[in-house]
Amino acid sequence: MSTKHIYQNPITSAHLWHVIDATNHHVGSLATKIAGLLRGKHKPIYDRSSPLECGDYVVVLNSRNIQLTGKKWDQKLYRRHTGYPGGLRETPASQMLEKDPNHILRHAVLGMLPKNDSKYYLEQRLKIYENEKNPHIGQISKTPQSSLALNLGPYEAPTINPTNEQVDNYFAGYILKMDDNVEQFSMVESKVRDHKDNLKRQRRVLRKKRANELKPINIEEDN
Amino acid sequence: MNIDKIFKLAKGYFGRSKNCKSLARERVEKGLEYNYVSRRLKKRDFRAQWIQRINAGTRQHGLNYSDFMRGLISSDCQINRKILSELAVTEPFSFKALTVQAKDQLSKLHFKTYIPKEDIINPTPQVKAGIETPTLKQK
Repeated sequence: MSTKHIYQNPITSAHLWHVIDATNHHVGSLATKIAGLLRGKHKPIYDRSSPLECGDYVVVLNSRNIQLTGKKWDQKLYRRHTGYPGGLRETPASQMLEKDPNHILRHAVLGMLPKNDSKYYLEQRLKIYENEKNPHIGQISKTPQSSLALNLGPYEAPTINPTNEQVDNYFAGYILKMDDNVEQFSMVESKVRDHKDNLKRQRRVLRKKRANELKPINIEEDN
Repeated sequence: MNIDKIFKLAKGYFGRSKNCKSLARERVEKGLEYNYVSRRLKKRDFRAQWIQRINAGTRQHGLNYSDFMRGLISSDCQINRKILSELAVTEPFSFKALTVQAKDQLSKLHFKTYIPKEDIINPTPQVKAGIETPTLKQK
């Protein structure tokens, strides 16, 4: 079935509207979802050559409550150049949140779209708002409803309930002697993780040595 | 190549390359090279598109593309990717039946292999392919 036949039918090729609440979502993981929705990669009628026909509209609310992990609020810089010599302007992410919170998410999404002329048109379909108010409700109610339409709420941390087998696999080769406290558990876990990282580092050094990338030096064991 | 044939192929080209003899010859030779390449690229591009469509179809039912294909291949389902992508677009219910089949098969398989769980727990003894050396009859 050729793509022409699909796009002639307005039921299959109607543009959907996705509404996302961005509170407590991480920027990068949310941006990957949005970039896929804008291009229409979640639809079985996806065609690389016509992203404008199978792509969708995305509305993002509460962009002020978005989150970055680690020290990125202080260390991440948004750069631009005025064109004059010495005209490099840098704003850290914490200042950008006060100045223009929409720019943080928009900048992340645009970096994930394909670098060609379709980027300009796909950008226009991304609507980001600081607050909870959604001005597109009238348009959304007119479009046909679909199970593919994604309506994400605020972020919920995933709950992990490992089975006994998975716990045994993780602590393989270690004797566990601890109480059922959170502190005790975290101490043992961090000790295991450090040991595994150490082993990984040693293996990496050995691999490089085997490939003659390193000069012959005496490898000191960190113990 | 005959110049009449070249002008026939150079119809609709940009600028003087449809009228001038020397320019048309250059453009037509280059165009035929592109033809040769794109005849090969067409097969790869279509396969990539089928895979993208199957992936979008399987993700609606909570499955990965690679897991889906692993389940189908190990259950000896011989539908190729072109037909699977057409099923994903036009017949979503019959495509759903395939995902159910793949999920059933995946539950029987060992982690990240095509080998069933039972064979790993109770492995069958491997028999070496015995090649009988031909005995020469000496006179």
